Amino acid sequence: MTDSETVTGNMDDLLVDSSRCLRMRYSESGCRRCQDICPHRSVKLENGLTINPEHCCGCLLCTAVCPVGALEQNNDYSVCVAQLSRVPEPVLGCNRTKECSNGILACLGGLSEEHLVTLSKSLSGKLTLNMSRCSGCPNSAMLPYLRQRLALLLGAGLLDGGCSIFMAESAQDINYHDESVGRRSFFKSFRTSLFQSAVVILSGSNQQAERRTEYAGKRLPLRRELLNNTRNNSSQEFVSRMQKHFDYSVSFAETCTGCQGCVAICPTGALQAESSDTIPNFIQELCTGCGLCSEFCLDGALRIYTVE
Amino acid sequence: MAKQYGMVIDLQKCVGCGACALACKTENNTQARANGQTFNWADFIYREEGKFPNPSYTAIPVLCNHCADAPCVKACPVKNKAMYKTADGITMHNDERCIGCRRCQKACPYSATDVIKDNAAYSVISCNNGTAAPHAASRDTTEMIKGCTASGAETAKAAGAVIPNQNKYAHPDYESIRKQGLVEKCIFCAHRVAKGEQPNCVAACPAKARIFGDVNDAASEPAKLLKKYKPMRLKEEKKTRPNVAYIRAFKGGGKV
Repeated sequence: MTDSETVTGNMDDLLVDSSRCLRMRYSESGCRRCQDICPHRSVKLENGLTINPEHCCGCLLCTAVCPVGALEQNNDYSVCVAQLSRVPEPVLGCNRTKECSNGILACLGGLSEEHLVTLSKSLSGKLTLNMSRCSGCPNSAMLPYLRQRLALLLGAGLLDGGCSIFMAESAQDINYHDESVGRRSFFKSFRTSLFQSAVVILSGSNQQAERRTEYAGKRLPLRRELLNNTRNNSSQEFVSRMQKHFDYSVSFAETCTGCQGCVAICPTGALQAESSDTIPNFIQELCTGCGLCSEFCLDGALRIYTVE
Repeated sequence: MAKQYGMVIDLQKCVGCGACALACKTENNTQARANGQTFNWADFIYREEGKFPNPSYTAIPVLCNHCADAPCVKACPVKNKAMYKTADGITMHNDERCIGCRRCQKACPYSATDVIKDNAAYSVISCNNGTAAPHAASRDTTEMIKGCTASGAETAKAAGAVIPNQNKYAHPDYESIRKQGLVEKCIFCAHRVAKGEQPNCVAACPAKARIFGDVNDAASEPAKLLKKYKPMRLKEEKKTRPNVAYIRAFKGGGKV
């Protein structure tokens, strides 16, 4: 028996960047998204963001809810997408289903709505999510979340026009083909494999499980980057659907003193100072709706709300 | 008793020459005044009072008071505070964790977010909130006199440093030139003190008016002076327990 029956991921599947964490940036922040979703109770927030490596099974659910990229997947998603794009009906699997999957994430719990929209837009035909070994997996708590994300995206029309995404929960439903090396497709696959190798080389090795960004630095989380790239390649109508689903707006009350504290606390750089004592500029594409600005504002002047 | 570094300034020895302020600027590579920020970690309160025939002129050197109950530390929002107290009582600032929100500057009784607007004599915490990197003059590529002088940037490049006379010290919490968007303040020259040296303002004072040491050690110079004379501290009513004390104020002047 292979160890695929028991294999799960671990904390090495996470890339932790404490300086992004809302709790680290603002000790009074009430954010507990990662702690609430973690099925293994491995996230502790009392003394700053810590993850218990003995409990973490790498379900990546936290990476799908962290709005600021303090917790992200320690793999290169573009490589995964490149691998999937080499076959007409690709199968996306996890650590447990490596043998019959064209692309792999440590666990499919890490497929956030942003990841799913990007997948749908960058592939054509039919994508199968290989969930055949989910039952009995310690990470099976991710199943309802993934179903819900897909349902929400379908409802918002955000999977229209892309590939269809199918959750296959039994082995019979999986139609796995290794990359074909027929004469016709040889050059095509040669080209894509070159492209893929380039992506792998460019991405470098990201084996470290920790990333250090200066607190004052701004960094857009990977999920938002994916979303914004997809947004740039989409039709006007689709972009407005994306806006309704993913974007936020802010408003400043008259009590705003223009102290620019929100500009400093914002982890993604969505708030930018125009001058030293006026209301900051808001860049909607850079806002992930973490709400830290509103929590942090001394004057209670800042309100954040969804676009819809 | 835990170590508490502090400073005693003897006002009858101080002649207000400004050597401390210059020594601080060269030691810590602080930039020129800009955007309502002084960047003077060592500064002065100058006061002219009274009318002839009873005028008085006071010069009081000011610096971060390294308060025992530091409100700047309390205000810092970051977990593992960017502004924190070291074991030896220095109010230290870490420029990796600082997000530049300026809550410390607002909380500090000795600081102003804008010295011009607030009409403040000094501010012990400064913030490089400008859009330009620090030391704008040394990054300027325009010639001051066209075809005649080198630009600031050229001079800096030839000297091999951002500012030609940069003192490249190393400290785990601090870079010798602080980055854009962060606050900065006097750190009692912790990089010098760690090597057993005096802060540069103390070393440079020609009148030996500044005395630095562990005020909790009864055998230290500052502790002896604090015992011998009745010390005065700035804004004691704020109850921040400042650790910079002034002794022997001239009676002729107004209150300090």
